[in-house]
Amino acid sequence: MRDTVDARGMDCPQPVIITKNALEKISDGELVTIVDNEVARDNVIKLAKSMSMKVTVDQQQDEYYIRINKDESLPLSSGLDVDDKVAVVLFGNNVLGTGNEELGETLIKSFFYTMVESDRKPKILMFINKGVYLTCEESPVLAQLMALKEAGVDILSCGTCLDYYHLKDKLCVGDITNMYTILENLMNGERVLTL
Amino acid sequence: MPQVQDPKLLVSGSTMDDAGVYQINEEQALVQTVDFLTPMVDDPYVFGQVAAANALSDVYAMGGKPLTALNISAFDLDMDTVILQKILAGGAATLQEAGCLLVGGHTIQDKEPKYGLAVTGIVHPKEIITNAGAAPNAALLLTKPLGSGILSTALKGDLLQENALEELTQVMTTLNHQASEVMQRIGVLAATDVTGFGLLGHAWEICASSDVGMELYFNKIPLMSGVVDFANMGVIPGGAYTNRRYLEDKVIFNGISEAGQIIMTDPQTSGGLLIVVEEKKLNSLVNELRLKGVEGAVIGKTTDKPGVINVIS
Repeated sequence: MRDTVDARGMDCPQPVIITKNALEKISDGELVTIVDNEVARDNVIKLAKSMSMKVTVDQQQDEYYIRINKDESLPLSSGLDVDDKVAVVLFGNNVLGTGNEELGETLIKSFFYTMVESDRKPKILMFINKGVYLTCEESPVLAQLMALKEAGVDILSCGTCLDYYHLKDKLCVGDITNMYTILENLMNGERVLTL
Repeated sequence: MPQVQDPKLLVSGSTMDDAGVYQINEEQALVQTVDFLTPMVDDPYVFGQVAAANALSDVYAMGGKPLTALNISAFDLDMDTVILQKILAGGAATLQEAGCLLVGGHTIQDKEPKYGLAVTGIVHPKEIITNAGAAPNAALLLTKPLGSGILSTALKGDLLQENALEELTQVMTTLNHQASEVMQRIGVLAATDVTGFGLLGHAWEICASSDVGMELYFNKIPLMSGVVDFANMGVIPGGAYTNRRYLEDKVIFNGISEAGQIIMTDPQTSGGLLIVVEEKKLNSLVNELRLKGVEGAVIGKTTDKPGVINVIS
């Protein structure tokens, strides 16, 4: 089943509104919204991402065909998929596992390298305590975290922890968060993995 | 535009300032500005109030006191003229609140309604507050929350809840009168009002005119409720993207979400004052503002690195 929304010639926020209404009406399948300017294109892509739907865009001359797939709850068009089985991963340390530190660092590197390559990705990575060293300057896994963020994974570092370790101005990837948001993410009923 | 020069023209468009200033004598200078808008709210009376607060704001941003104003309006005569009357009544009420006299105006026929004012104010020639007076290591203060462009867009799409509309209306109809009087009394380095170019666009005007850089703290910037959600949803006016493109090579975002970035370039209607004040005067400025019911948020500082606005979380 495919539905089409023709939003050519429309100003913001109309393309977003009529796309939203159309998405709410269909139960599954693909919706194509056609727009004729970049602002409308970017706004409709944002809408689909905010609803965790997969988006691809085809440009034909001055028009953009935005394909939104309601079946698959997969953000972004980067080809990297987000797994909904494990939603949240909480990192309390900058190494993986307890024991030898050097081994722990090797393991955490390998962990993120693998996650970038894997089809299965969490929705949110949260970093607390020494975990925040992973999102800051000199982290051994910055490139991997950036790739994950690019793929639509939310990366959140605890603000209190950044303050404590004097890392606030060294944060390189993702956003700063507070305990309220951390708790909300842990308690919202999705699967949580603590490392 | 040709640059006009005259010894009595103290401030012109060359410093990207909010209003022109012309010296009459040693004690007095005229502040002149004009601004008009298309409706951003459904209630015509509120639209009039917002348009007036927005037009007056340019005088306030220069540290001036508005004296007289002229209405400028466009209206489709096929529409009910009661609507126009309500717009003008809203404008007149706000002028009265500002102690500014409405002395006339002009209306033309046009399909899309527009309303605004040409405002004339007065300022002491030695007390003009411009974009060009900032120095490094001074504090940046913002007197109203951001989000009016995004929330007005949400309102157009019928997405805005009643209480969010109330907050938006309250913010946009608030005069920068008190903020201006207080900053004039305390003495500040530079100021501007945050309007169409968004927070970062107007911050950039200060940087360029004063030859300083800035560091802004995103988490300290006051936001109206719902703004982040709408930004994430793509309910964003085209002007925000235009502003961001213009600022691309001037601003460095460090760990600021996509929504946060676009909120900082969201065009504001009747936004607050962005004030540059020396650290030693910061506390008294914040306290005096609070006594007058204005919440000034410290959102950053100026730096000695011209050409760069660094935004951190």
